[in-house]
Amino acid sequence: MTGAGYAGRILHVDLSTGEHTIESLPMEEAQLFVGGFGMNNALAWRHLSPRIDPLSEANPIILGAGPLVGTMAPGSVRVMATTKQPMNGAVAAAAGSMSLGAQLKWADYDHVVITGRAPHPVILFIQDDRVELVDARNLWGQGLNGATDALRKRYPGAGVLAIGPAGERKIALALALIDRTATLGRGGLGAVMGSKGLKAVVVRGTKGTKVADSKRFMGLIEDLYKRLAEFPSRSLVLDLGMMAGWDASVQTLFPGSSSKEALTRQFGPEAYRRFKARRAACPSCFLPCKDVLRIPDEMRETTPTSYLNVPLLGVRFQVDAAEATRLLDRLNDLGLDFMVFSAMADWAIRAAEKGELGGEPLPRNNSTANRLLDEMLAGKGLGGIMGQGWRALAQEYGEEALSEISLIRWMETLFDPRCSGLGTMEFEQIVCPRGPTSATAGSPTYLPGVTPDKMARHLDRMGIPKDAVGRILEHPLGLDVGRLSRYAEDWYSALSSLGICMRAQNNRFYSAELCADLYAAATGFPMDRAGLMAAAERGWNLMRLLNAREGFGRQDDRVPSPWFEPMESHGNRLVMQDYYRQVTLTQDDLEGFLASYYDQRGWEPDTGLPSQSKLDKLDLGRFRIPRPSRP
Amino acid sequence: MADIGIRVNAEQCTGCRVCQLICSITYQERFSPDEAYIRLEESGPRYVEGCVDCGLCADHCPAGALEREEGANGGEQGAQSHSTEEQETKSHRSAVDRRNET
Repeated sequence: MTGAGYAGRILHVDLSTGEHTIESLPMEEAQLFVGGFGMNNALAWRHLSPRIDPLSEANPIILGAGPLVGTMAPGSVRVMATTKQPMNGAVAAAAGSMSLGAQLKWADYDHVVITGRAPHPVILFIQDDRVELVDARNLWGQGLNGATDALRKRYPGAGVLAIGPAGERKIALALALIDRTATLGRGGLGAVMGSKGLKAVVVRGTKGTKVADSKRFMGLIEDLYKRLAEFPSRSLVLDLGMMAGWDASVQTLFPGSSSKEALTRQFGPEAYRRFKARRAACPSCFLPCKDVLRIPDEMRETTPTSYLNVPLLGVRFQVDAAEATRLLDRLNDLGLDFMVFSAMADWAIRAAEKGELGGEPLPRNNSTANRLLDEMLAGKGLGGIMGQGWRALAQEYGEEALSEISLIRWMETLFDPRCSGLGTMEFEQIVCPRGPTSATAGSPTYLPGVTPDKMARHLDRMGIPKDAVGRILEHPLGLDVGRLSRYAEDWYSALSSLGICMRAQNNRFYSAELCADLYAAATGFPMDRAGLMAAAERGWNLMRLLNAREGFGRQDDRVPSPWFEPMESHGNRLVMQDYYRQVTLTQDDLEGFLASYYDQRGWEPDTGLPSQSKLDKLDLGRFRIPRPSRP
Repeated sequence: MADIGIRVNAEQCTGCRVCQLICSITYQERFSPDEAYIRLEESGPRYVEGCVDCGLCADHCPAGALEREEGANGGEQGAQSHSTEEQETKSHRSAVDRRNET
């Protein structure tokens, strides 16, 4: 390996010519952005020309694995994929897990920049210094699961990022899966790979990852393992995975559906135990979230997934856990985002009930799901339009037909503040440059009613300066969610740049100090808490600039109107309230939180962008501010 | 290869590779699963030639898939963690021995 922490190399692959080159990682820039997420943004600034068609050969796919990926730091598996996403034209850094990132690092690469379009379907195969484009015409058309299995058989031990038929057909909901298990690229990464004729990226690394000061590094790791041993919920999480939080999350996850008791009977922890074949983990993970499931009375084990996805699908289509598991398997095999698909299908079923689609009613069941999937793949009918994204549905049926869907930047929200109060995960969806995502703004507001003392401790852990903690907590409602969202994004940016998993059960073990110490021990470069958080802020600002270059700005930070309407759920009438559930929030309140967010970011309130002086302060002066305008 | 004093509970293995990571950083001075003295196979973890039964893999296994057997070679150190001085000494000595062999 070339360096410590960092591999020190960027691989460039041109699918059009079949050629590849290796560039030394520019170390000064890598330190400025830490790596992973942040460095991917810097590479996108150079290699992604503004205003291109996401499905054109000009759109690059940039993979990045931060300096901790490939080590034993728990959950150090985060791999980032940056591209212009077809769903809404935003430049997005998707995050994935399983073995791809670690294999990249063990093969001695920090980043891979993939450009061009292959003349026929190919696999990009990387084994250490060996880089080949392998003919994949025999795999084109195959399901994602079968293709991945075939590739793992051909290349034992490799990490596999693959697409299914949905990606090949450039469907906007197409994503890729790593090792048939971890999704990567909500917003259409699968379609971008399909447009390039890239069926899969297969990586096998045998060189390993070195750290600069292994004694110091392992001392920090041993401390983490001691804390794991003392973690009261350790055995619960090891046994139940994501289901450990079932009781606390039912209402948030399943608004408007049947009672908590009925849901628990059908899908709760006891049902999970009947389906669980075994737990599954990413490399280095000590509290895994994934499960291998087995439908009772069937021998076949499913692709590893988080069981929690089963009730999410089951509730949407009113099918039992066995049917939902089969449906999830099909969606994964097609390489489709099950969350977007089920949200769209839910909308279609409701719209059909009201006669808005001009056709037959759509029963809420498995047949409807499979029919819509068949249409989507064929590019015909309602499913065919769904496959082009929410914007296409609005164009076909009118925006009024989508008036009950909470859309921001033409992507549906994943967290509804009417169910959970307005925490950072809910609010930040408004300002996230990529559109709503599941992980960019985690904070203690993930749990309800966190006491101010506990909140302050966690905010400190996330690297938030004391004066900012004061401003966040001094708000009349007890919490300024706008100000806090800025730091939640920065914490995400720090972990994603280092390569650490954001999941709550992993994230809770890390602090900004510990992250800085791990970085310093791994790379040999000095780092402290403030330095790490400054790098994280840089990464996020550059993400915002990349999207400003595409024409996105303040005008796109819009609160979805359904949030202001009441919602029926479990017999209750839910309205949007603040995090501590004291008041019902109005448009003015949300505008106030937006103003707080821009202020805490140091951005101009009218454009929602950093000023030149702000960029200069961040050492980002060379990234020129584009004028916010629409094409 | 001598008997390894570690019980393998294959059904508990989550595939997290922590055993390989702790083994390779200790004996190869890098995180490199291919160079660890334990392999992850379809049937579960399997020790390979070169393992010195230090037990670090079992000490760190977060899933209970590897457990020191009482009274086995590594068992006397079972209650100690990797960071203890004796363990470091043993690990270091083993690593040096390994280099001399190759």
